[in-house]
Amino acid sequence: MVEYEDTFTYDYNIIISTSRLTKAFGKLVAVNDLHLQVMRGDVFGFLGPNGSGKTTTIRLLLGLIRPTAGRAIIFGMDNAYQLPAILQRIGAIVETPVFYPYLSGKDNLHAVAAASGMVSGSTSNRRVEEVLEIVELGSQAKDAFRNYSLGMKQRLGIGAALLADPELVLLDEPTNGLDPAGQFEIRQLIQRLSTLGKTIFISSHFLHEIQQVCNRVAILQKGNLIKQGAVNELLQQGEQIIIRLNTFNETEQARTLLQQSSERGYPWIAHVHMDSNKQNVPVLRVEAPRTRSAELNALLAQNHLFAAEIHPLEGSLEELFLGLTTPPASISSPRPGMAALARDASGAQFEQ
Amino acid sequence: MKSSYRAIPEASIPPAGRASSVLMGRQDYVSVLLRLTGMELYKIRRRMMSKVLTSISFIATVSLFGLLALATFLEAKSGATPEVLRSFSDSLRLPGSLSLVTQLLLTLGQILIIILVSTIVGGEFSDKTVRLMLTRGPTRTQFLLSKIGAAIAAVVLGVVGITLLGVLTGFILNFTTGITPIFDFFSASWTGHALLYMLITMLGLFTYAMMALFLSTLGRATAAGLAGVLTWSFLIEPVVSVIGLFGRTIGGPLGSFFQSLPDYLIGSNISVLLQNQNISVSPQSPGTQVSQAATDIHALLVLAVYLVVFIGIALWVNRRRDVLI
Repeated sequence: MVEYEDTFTYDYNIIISTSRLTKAFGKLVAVNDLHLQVMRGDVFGFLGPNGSGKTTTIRLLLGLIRPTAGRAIIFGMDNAYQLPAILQRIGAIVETPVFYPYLSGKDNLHAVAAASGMVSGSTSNRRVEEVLEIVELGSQAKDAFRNYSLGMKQRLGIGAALLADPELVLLDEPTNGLDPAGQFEIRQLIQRLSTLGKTIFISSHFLHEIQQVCNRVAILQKGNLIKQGAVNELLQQGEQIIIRLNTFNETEQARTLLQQSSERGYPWIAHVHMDSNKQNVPVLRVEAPRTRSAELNALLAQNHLFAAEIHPLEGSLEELFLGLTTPPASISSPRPGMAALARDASGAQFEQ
Repeated sequence: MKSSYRAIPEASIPPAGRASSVLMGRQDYVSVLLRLTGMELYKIRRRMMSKVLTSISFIATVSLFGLLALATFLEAKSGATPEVLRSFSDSLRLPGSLSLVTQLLLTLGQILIIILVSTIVGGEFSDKTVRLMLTRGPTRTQFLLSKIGAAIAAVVLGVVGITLLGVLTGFILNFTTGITPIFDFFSASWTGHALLYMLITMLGLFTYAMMALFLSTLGRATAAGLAGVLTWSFLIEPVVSVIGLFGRTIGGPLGSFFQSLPDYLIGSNISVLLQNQNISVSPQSPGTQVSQAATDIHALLVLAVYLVVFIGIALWVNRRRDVLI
């Protein structure tokens, strides 16, 4: 942190910052008024349905396309003016990895090394070998790229992104085409890179994957940012506690009690819904922090209502995502609270 | 008092260190450009297509001189006099072989260089690798300049290589004719003019190569450069030359306008430059005279304008355009 005359605290930990970033193709606004902030060391998930503007945003960040309005600041530099200096510190995959089809995987990495500003020679050779081992392409290094499977192409793309040991890694759908084992390896690789202090920006459709590896996410829909924040905070908002009592009557009584308690000294009880579990037994879904389970149990016991079962349920990114990006009529979520929460939150443009 | 507002820094964030196995080279403009040009040449070398093009040019050169030697042999068999035979086989020996190999370079060589340049530029778009290259650090201008650098290298190596091959093949095959080569033309001045002759050939090929680069960039495809330049050089230029002749026939202001059109074509200006050098390179060649059509300065200016237009527009388009592939 560097202080500037008592006015602002300039934060050197902001790696990507976009301000009113907009891209229109004719009448189609692909990205609209985007404010993103990615901090140093973040594993930042960038989510959105197809056509929501994720890849356009990545292209804007990498200077492949010019914004219609707004700007992107990366490493404190405006990418409209200092793009080469920025790109030297970034490793990126945009959509499907592309390489020269007539060159081998190894030769392609040599070409990328030269384009990245690395010196050729034995040091470069060593780095190329090192990266090929990281992405497990050592044995196919001499095969022509045109003969690679989609998974191998993806791995080579990740290898190319890591070649110059960048500070920021931008990965657009990095696990596309990989089998479950490959996806697991990539997740592990991302976590390993994160521990090395790299900042990682991933766009993906695999929400469980994002939930597992990312600490912060942004959700985009039709070019608009509809949610941004820390994953655990977002998921906390959707936490529920499931309570099962022995009889239907007790369940009804418990619902009334909890609804009343919500207004009388228990503000953390957001909503109480009657639902049924997989065995078609009535249960209560209480929207409350998972850490409040014991208090909830005590409250019921004080009123002679004894839970047969009580367990917290963590929100999932998938539900949050669907709640935010799916029209209300088509939500068939078993957890209406999450969808409602998501819809309520969709008004928020920017969360810190 | 400090505000909690977090703003972007005014200065760039200092870069973090890289792994010890990552050794970065010099990052000044020229070093980056040279590295990229080296990479382009490396890619050309690894392409099957460039090996095929090189093989075609080698076979064509050897075949051309081989056919001439065979024709000379058949002519000798038919009982031609030594003078006729010497004149007939003139192109097997210097300085005639230099003119012959130049003609080959400006026809077949031109097609091959157009194919090569169209492919190295258009291929970046059809393989979508432009996306890879433009996200690694070099500017778009450096990216295109590296292609121009590779084209220059290909033209220079091609002209020097094929000229040497042609002259040597002719020299060797000349032994089959039994005619003793005479080197009385050889002097420092002749060497200078021969070098200029080769430079003009390179300039001609380079101009067409830049047209291919321009059209491939504009059309974002190999076919755009290839079809465009071939149409220009083998259809439009001959048609405009015919229009020039037509202008001579009809006369008047319109006629003189038509007549002047061929003076502004690439091919005719290269011919002017070559013809004016040929006086010194092959003084014995029949019909060798100073071009009446245009001076060297005129020809060089016309070619310079073409180059500025082709390279300038290609650079401008490349800088301005969104990469959406």
